[in-house]
Amino acid sequence: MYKVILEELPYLLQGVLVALELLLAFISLGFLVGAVLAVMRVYGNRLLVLLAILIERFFRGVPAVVLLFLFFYGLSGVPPFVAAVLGLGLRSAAYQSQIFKGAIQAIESGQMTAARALGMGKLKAIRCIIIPQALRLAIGPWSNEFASELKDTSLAYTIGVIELLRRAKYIVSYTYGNNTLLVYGVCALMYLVLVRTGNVILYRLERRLAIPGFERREEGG
Amino acid sequence: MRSRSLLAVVGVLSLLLTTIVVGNVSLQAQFDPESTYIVGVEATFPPWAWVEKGAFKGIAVDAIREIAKSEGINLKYQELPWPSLIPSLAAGKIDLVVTAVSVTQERAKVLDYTIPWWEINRVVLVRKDSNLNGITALCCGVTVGGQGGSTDFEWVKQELAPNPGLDIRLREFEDPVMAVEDLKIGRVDSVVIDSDTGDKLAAEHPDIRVAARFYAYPPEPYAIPVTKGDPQGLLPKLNHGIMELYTSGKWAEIVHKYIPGAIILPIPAYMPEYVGSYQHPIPGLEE
Amino acid sequence: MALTLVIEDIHKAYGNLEVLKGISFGMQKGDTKVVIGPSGTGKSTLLRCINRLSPPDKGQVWLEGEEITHSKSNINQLRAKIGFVFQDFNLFSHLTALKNVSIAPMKVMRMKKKEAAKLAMEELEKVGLGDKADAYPAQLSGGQQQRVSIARALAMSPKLILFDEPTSALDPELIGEVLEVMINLAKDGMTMLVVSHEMGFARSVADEVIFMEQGVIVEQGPPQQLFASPKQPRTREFLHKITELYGEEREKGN
Repeated sequence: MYKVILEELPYLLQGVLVALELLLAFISLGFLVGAVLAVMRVYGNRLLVLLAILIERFFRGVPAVVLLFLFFYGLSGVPPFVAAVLGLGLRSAAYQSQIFKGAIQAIESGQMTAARALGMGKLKAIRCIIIPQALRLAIGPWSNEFASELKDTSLAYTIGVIELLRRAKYIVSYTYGNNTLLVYGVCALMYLVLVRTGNVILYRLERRLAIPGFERREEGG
Repeated sequence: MRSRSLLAVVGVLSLLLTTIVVGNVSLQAQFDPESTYIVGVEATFPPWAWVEKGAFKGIAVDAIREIAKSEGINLKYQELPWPSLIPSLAAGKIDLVVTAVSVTQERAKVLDYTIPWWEINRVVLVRKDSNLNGITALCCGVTVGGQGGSTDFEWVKQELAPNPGLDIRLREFEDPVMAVEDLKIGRVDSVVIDSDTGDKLAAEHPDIRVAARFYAYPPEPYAIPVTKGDPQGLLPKLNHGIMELYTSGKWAEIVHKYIPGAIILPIPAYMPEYVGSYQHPIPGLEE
Repeated sequence: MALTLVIEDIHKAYGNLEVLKGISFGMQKGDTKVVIGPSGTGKSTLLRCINRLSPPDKGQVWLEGEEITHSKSNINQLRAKIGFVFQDFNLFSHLTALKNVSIAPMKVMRMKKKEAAKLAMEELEKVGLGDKADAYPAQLSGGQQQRVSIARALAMSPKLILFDEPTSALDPELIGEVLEVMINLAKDGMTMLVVSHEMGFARSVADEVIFMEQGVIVEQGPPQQLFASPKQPRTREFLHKITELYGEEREKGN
């Protein structure tokens, strides 16, 4: 029983890499689009705000698997990995935009006023003054997002992305289910390690970027 | 993820979207030896297809490898879970499916098939220590499990479950191994499954046994499905390849590697009338 | 001499409340004018109307002949020529003092990084904070922050600087350092419009003191005249209250 796991370990670890690749790709997409959506929500005119709200509602309201199918079957010539990045990425954007929106709104309005008073245009002020501060504020809630997005990568198997969990399934299948708990236990351990590592990295990042003089978040979480 | 209704939803969605978006259904009906074709594989269905240490194995996989070699087809393998396989084929995201796929009238509406290479029967699995027999495993308050979308489970769902007199509950699974897992721990009382896989699972698990065997009539064949209309021009090559495999004896070799002592049916096996690609002349076969 | 700033009949209401009911005056280059009056009379609003941070409902503002209130004006360009010092400093918290001062020259005037840093350092030294260039706002005292914000305004070489109660949020001991910078600026010939309660400052450097109450200018004139012999009874009343509050000592100290 254990022999099989040891032999399959490299294959499983490759699955970890696939999951990480997918995660990094789609979470970055979500980051960019989420930031844009948040700026639209906070600073846009009525039309932009409405558009942002519609986009957010759609991608938050549709289950992740359905989104994966929509992109996989709906776009021709798109390989599974890309469809997964798009589907999960835009969904992540909808959630991340909430985080950024909160962060932007937590910044005192005086910052924007001062920037405008110096002659900066709205967009320039957003780019140079608001976003850098919002990003720092967003790191905390963002690590929660990271953990839950990591777990979402396991949904991508439905459209053919062979990540960690699917590989575990293979092992269970051909060993005829004689070591189900062991295999999935190993998987759970791997996910735990990933989440913990990610959180540690993010915490360190937060500390490095912290603006001197302000209070820092407690480690944990 | 297991229900047939999801299959239907996905099927509708995919058809809808591919009509809205510019489809990729190629206009070329000619096989192109330079192209790479995508094989959809469901890798959780031993002995027909599975993955071991990253390599595809199984009767269907070995067979398609041989055929690809002898017919000069470039193949790329894409693993997908069972509920995604047929919709992907129908939508043209993959070009053929290699696992244990039964020929059914409904599927023949959206797919075309190669000549059949196998016929299956059905078994009912129960726990060794239960006293259920073939009849009592399918009636009287039991919970029956099976792979969603499989012909076996569809049979239970459509023919048996609606009958109030039988009083059975259903539990769907994404693949047969999961169904058997739940059988072992008692969440389901019986599992209805293809005879080959069922026999294999019963052999591997000392705590389950075969309670009954149903012979399908008319016979239920396995074949390789391709997109309806065979837009990639694969059928002639595949059919020819299958025949070659059979007549050369390689098919028997492959099957016996995984199911020692199995009876090899003559190929082509039973060909239902409702399949378009079984009307003569059959692509790839000399008459 | 062409006027640096002309304000003509400014009206501003917030909902039903009319805050500015027709303010008009002008400023020449090098003028220092101090606006005094009870809180809530629209003094801050007036300043924000001048650079259109709060667009006026009615009336016009000209900076060196260019109309700020015109709909087709390039407001960013015009704002770059008007410095603004806020009561709450509003320094950019994620930037060092140096970066705070150099960012607008870089981003608005498109100065090169080295040039802007050099300029920023000069301005910081002028306000006495050359040694704090790498400090972040949260590490500075209120008085230091306000001085940085003045340096930030100066770095843009403005034609006019607006001061919105620059010392009202400061601890009493820190007020002096900021007023000192402002007095030096005035002496150097900067055109300044200051809303403040600091009578000593008004007395020493203002060319004119404007007393505003309930949205209108009640009286205006050179500080010696206004403080010694105010013409309007309301002015008199207000000044009386102020001197009572602040006492003679403070005026002498400044």
